[in-house]
Amino acid sequence: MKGFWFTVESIIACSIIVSFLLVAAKFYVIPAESADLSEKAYEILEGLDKQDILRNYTVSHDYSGLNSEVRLFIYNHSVQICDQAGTCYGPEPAGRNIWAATYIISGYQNYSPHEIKLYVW
Amino acid sequence: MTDKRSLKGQAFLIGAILVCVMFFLGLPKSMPIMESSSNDLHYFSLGIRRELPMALNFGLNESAPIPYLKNFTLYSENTINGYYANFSSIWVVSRNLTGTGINITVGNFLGSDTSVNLTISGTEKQLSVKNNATNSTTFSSISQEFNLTIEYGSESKTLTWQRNKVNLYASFGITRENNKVSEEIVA
Repeated sequence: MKGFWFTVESIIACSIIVSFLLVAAKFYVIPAESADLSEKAYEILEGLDKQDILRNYTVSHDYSGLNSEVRLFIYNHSVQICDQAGTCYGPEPAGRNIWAATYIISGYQNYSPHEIKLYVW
Repeated sequence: MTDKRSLKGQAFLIGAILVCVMFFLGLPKSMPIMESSSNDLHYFSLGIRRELPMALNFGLNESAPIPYLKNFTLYSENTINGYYANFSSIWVVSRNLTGTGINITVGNFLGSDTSVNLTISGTEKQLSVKNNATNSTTFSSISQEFNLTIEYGSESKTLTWQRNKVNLYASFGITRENNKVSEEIVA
């Protein structure tokens, strides 16, 4: 009987270790596709700037309007606009694996420095 | 007397549980909540290259080019510092005065006071510029196209500029630990 219980305990220990490894893998293995999301986010902001869309929304602090111009169909996204005084407009998402890109502008038709953050998850 | 062989399996169990507990205790310290690309220094650099001349233009429109340029430089420094990176820069702006004279302003944001030598056609002037401040000097009887040599620290740069336009030269670096991006702007 001693051999039987020894075997049972060993099997339980192995199960715990395997479960642990599976959980750890979920935490540490990042899908390859998510590695490019902040670059993609930056390219979107840059594209909106080149289309002369970004700055007008930014200086008027219309984070919702700017977010509606972002085309990222399979991902969630939100925009936050921060002015020189450090006041930010728009939500900052909470959670894990949220990618962010930051775009700095000096103004639109007048000097008005702002920071635009695009969060993607 | 306890049979030592019967305790071996329990030792495995206790060991497995301990490994799991130690992992989850350390997890909150290592968990990334928000991630950004390792290329963010490059993107900040692109932004400075694009926006610094624009800030100068906005300033020219408001007849205050140097205050606007200084303000934007400090704004950029504060913003980039917020991402645990260090931004340092130095810039030189030339503006035409009435006649054939020009005014040259140096902005120093290198992190410490510096001395800058400016040379045009053999005439050398030395400017002491405090950190996060600007200083100016004038040159007279300048030809329409002139060569300006800028020297500070171990750096030296010679530029060919036009007298009747506003010229900008900027050198900046963004660093975070072992990563560094250095750029020059001539506009």
